[in-house]
Amino acid sequence: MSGLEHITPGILVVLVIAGIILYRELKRAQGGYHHFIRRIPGVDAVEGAVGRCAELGRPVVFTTALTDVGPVLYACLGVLHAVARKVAQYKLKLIVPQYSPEAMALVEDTVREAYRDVGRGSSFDPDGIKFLSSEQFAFASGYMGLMHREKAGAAFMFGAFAAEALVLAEAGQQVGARQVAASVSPEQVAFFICTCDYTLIGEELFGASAYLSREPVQVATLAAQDRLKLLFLVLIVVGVLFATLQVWYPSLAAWMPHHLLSADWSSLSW
Amino acid sequence: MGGRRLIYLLMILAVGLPIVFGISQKPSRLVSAERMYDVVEQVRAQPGEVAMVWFDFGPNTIAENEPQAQVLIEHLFRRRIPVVLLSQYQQAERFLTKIPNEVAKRLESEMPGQQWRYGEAWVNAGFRPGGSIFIQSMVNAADVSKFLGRDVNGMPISHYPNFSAIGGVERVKLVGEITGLVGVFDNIIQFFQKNDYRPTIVHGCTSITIPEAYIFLDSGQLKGLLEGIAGAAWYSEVLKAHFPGSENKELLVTNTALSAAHIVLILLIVLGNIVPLFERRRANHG
Amino acid sequence: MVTTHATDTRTKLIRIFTFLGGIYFFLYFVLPESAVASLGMKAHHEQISNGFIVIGAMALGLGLYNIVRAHGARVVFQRSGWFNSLALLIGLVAMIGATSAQWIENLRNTRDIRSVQVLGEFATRIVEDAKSPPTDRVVPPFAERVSALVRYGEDRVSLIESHTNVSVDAGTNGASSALVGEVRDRIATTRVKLGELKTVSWDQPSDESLSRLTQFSQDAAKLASSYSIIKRSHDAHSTSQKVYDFLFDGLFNQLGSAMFALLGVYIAAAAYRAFRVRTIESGLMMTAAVIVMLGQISFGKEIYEHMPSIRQWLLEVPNSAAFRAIRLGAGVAGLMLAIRMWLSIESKSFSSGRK
Repeated sequence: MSGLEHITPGILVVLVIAGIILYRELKRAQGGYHHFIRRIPGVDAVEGAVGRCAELGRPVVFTTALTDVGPVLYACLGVLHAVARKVAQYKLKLIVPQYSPEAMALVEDTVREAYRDVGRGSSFDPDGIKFLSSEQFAFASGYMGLMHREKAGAAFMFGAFAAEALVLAEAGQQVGARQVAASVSPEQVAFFICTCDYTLIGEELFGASAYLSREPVQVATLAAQDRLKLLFLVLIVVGVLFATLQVWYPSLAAWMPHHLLSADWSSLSW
Repeated sequence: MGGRRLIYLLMILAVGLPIVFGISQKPSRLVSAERMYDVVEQVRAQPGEVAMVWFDFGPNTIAENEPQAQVLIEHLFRRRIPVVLLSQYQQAERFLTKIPNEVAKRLESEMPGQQWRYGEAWVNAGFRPGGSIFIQSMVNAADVSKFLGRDVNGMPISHYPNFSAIGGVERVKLVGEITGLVGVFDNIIQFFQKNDYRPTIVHGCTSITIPEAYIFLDSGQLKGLLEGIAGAAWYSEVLKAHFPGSENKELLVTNTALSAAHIVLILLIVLGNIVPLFERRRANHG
Repeated sequence: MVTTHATDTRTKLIRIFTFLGGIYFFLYFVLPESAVASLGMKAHHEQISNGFIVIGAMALGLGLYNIVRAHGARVVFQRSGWFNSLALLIGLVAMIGATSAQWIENLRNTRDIRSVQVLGEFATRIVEDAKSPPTDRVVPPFAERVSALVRYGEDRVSLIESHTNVSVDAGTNGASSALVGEVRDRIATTRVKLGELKTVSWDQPSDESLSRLTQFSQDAAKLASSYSIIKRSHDAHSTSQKVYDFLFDGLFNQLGSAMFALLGVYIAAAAYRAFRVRTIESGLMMTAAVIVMLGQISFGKEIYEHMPSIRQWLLEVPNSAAFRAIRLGAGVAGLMLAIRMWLSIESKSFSSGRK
């Protein structure tokens, strides 16, 4: 049985196309082109949750859970920046429990920047960025304790979650917090849907971040992803058509997309 | 608040009573576990050829992954296929030692006169950092035993008779991945292959990752799957049918407890939908 | 200005190293096997990969430093919650201490076992060199080597005997009496073989002498195997192992399992509170969920005999279709994000974005 240790020419072509698409969208975004991003319903939920905290006078908790430094964290920081701006405007308390010590510096910078943007730089409290633990369930138990002690009015859970997702969300439920969650892990989405007031599914996290921050790199990446998915969709449809027609025209087998994609370099000597 | 505590109590009773009273039921038949049994049964290992089993789970998921690891190791031991044990997850280190020792002891007490010795039946290569980079490197190595170097005790693996000349990764006839972690199984599926070779891969997963594992089962990249405790329980039943001395009472009790918890969950879902209806009707009449 | 310049240089350096690291694996994946081999990448892939893994492992040191710094400062300046930080640091030191002690003992035992294994290997080497004398090195005379083997063998056998007696005196500590008996038999056999080796003249290798040496190496290998088992079973009951077992099995495993077990009760509470059938879609979802659950449990087939088969179909067909789509989307996102990371195209300040 054959495997795929080295790339085939077909896949290389797809990779090059992906790179070209990303480059084109980046250039457009940096040049000022306005990419349309539909309003993600979760964005309203974010604003509504912070508003509720202002009414109740309770703190806001924002966690990126198990997200390490990387593109997913940057997407979460886009939302954190928007939340921190609102929190600063309403003069609320913001708590950001942390799992990754490396991410803490980025998180602190983002929140400080947000406070400065609305002219409340002096109100920024670095003690609100709390490192809990780098161990999954130790982090979860620390978060639970924090939620109960602080009686948070809103909890935002954005990023990469594993089994502790339900523990975090249930802690928020127990204190009556308004909860908005966005997870890149599809397995945890079901738990968030049961326990949170609003859940952004999969790539809506990137969409929300791009929508709120309008940061060119994030917007461009989102646009490039959509275009590449369209390409794959076309390949799938073509493949299905060929596979169906192959029943009557067996010679079409050589032109099936998966054969073209998996043909190795030696087959290039036509 | 009181309602929540009642629910917690119900769940504790549902899980606890079968365990306390040792109630066990025949598990549900799971085709994927049967398929995995057949796959392991069909493995033909020539001298020098081995199976490689990854224990990538920690204390969080031992309830599901440990029974899976035990039944797989038991089957491989019974078939006298030498096993290389290792892990991509540092918290699994303890289980790499504990589980094969327990299984070996159990088999030796079942069949006095036969032995399953460390260094002959299995070696423990321990925790190996690097994830996908490590796996890619191993796949390219000319000799897996030399690549792995020393076992967890510091002994060169190539000094153990059954593991002295494994050779390339083509001589790894079966790859087993027991994990509840996200992303770890992907490393095996993606990188444990060469252009001209793809091993037989079997997987033990937790219930939450069953839907995701099925796509690999369907595409043929995965040849067998243990679906949580239920999968391990059915696998142990099949093992018992072929090897009557195999002991699986504890696993069946655990599976029964899990089944009871499922029933309670379904009842709670039904109640959760019916009770608000009655309350609304009462409020309307009131 | 100097700070800005230093930061710019550092940023550039980080970008260069990120790109170089990524380009190696990209080329390795993209180029055909023949090109990879001719460029020498295949021959050095293992060393290069090990280098990357080592760099990744350095994060352990970084994490340790961060934890000690953050929590140590909290304890020293007695900030709020300092006692929690103290508990963390005590746990950290205890675990490192227990693991290190266990590791050192393990290494010591491995050294002892290895020293016994070498006995058989030495005998095998003497035979091989006698049959085909090496040309790349000078070997001592045959008789001298056999004499050294006998002396070393007697020393190792005494060591094994003393360690076996320790095990017996300590109540075998897990090593069964059958195993102890086996080791003693093999000690006796090895002593006899050593005695035979002493009595024979070894001036020149002969078929008979080489055969005896081969037999001795096999016996020595068996002795080493039994000795390693008795040594490891003795290890399992050592103080350092017991402390490690208490900390890992007794505390860490149980705490982790207990936290994970919370999920079971939480999902029950969530099921009662939130699983409402309000629309056709949620009704379909609920039906599928109940069928999958019933198909998996022991009682499911009592309710309806084909429940497991329906569950199987649900997982193989609609579920696989949906999850493939999710995986495809995640894969595409991962590809874009990977390109961004490789080329260091990262988000700048969020304050400069437009709303």
